[in-house]
Amino acid sequence: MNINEHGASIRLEGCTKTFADGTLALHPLDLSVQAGETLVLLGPSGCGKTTTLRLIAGLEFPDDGGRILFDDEDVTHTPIEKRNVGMVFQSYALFPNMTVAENVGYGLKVQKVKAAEVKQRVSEMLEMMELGALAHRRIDQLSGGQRQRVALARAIITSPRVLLLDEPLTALDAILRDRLRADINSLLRRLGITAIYVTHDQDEAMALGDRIVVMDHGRVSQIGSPKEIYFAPQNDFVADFIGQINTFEGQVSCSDMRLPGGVLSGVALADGQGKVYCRPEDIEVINSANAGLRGQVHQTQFIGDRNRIWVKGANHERVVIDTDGRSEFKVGQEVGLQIRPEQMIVLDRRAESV
Amino acid sequence: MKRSLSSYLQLAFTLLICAFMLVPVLMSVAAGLTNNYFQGLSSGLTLRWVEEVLALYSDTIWLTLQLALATLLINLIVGVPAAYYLASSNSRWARVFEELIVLPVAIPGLAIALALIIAYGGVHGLRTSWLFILIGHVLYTLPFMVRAVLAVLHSINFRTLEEGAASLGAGFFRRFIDVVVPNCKGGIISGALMTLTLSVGEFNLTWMLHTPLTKTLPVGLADAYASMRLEISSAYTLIFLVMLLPLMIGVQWSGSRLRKPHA
Repeated sequence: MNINEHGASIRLEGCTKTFADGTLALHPLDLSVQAGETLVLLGPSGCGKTTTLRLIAGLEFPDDGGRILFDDEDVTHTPIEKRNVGMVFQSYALFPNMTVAENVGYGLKVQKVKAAEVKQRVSEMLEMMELGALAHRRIDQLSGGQRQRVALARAIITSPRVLLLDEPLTALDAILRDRLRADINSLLRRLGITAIYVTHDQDEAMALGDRIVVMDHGRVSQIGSPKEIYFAPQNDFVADFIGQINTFEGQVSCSDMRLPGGVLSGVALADGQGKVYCRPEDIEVINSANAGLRGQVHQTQFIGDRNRIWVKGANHERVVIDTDGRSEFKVGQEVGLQIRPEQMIVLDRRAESV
Repeated sequence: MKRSLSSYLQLAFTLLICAFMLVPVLMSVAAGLTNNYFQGLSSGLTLRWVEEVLALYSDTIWLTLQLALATLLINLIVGVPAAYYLASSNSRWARVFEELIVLPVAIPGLAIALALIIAYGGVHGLRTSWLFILIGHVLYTLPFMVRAVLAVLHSINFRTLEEGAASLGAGFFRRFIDVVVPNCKGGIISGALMTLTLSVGEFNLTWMLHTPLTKTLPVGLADAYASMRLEISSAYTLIFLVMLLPLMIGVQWSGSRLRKPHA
């Protein structure tokens, strides 16, 4: 099927967005997306991710001074209907007055493609999305997952330069979400289209994104590959927001951090008050007798592939640790904790002060 | 299943109320079809009076239809876009206007008519034209059209639907025709039936605005009651009912259809 065009690269330059009521939704934003890349905008609600998407779509326009470019074409003032973007909405926005086939073919009809060709391309698209049997159904006769696929088919059939997805899986239940996430992933790879994907779900972001833009309060917190975001957060917000993490904070002298349960050694911080982060899976539980840092098991939870335990007394807050699923811990048991220096996350001070 | 005494009493009461309301209608219809009402049905049934009314008042019937259709046309052209504008606008004035537009419903028709006469009665030729009544009817019925369409627009997420259409390349006009109008069809239909019903049956306003040459059905009806024999007036009522009943049923039908999902 001839929808495999590589799409446009996108560049946002100094895009600020102030809403009519005076709220500053987006601080000056510079962002560039390569052609064919899948970029995920991730953050809590109100962080500006949807505003950014709507600016790229042409549903909102940046304040004066901001520029948006598709390849090298300035589209800052081009309305959405002339930008040639495909969009999948959280509520799908399928037309209730049209059948599945009419919905999917609408974009082609607007482009004045001949009826016979529309029919041909729609039926190919419906086959590809496994919707062939539903062509003549009404939208209200479809399940959530089917609607989502129709919305996707409708958005990509016109070979848009950019595909924009606004929390497309949020309205679905968990099992369906996992399956469709995999479907979307393989579709995006196959099409090689430039895609911007907005979500507040970090699993979705990790699974789909070539790069992730973590946003907070209208600013970009960090841009990076999923691994960079997870293993090398640049600031407190990203560290806290992405995945489970433990925060150790205390007085450091000669690379030793003093904590309530003893000493955490090998901390790559200068003397004085300091802070390091550590992922639950990077903490090792050892015999308490020869450990520098000790605590008691407060709670355990068997999750199948791992045992998650909470240890109190070692840190100011409870330490979350993921251990091998076959390990056995009893509540109240005395344990020692060990963290290898390379697995401690020390924030780049410069990044934090930005 | 055995019915209790109280359910029989309820049924009887309901039937009594129905009879109370229907008997005058039936009597009136009967009066329009009997030779001599004072002698009763024994004088025989006839369509003579109906024919006489049609001969005397056929122009009022045609004018009524013409007015109703013209009112409907204007309401469709003005009311649907107005409702769309009100629904899309966030401005405070749009809300104020939404309330203002209902005023003609609350103000007595006579007062509106008088205001219209004072304001525009002097415009050359307007006072004697049927267009003057048309203005009154539009003022009176437009709120119903706007309200019916607004209600549907508020219940569907039309902004997102429009954004969806826009993302597929549809410009404003195209979106309005392809997506907005079809999805508030229910509201448009019920608003249209309401407009026709109200326009056909409107008396207060029309009575003040009419001239001997621009009489509508209800005005003619009053005229017949005042000056004709009872059989003719009753035959007139019969014709009026025949015209209005399908519209009323239509309003009920469209209302119940709209309340059901996926209608």
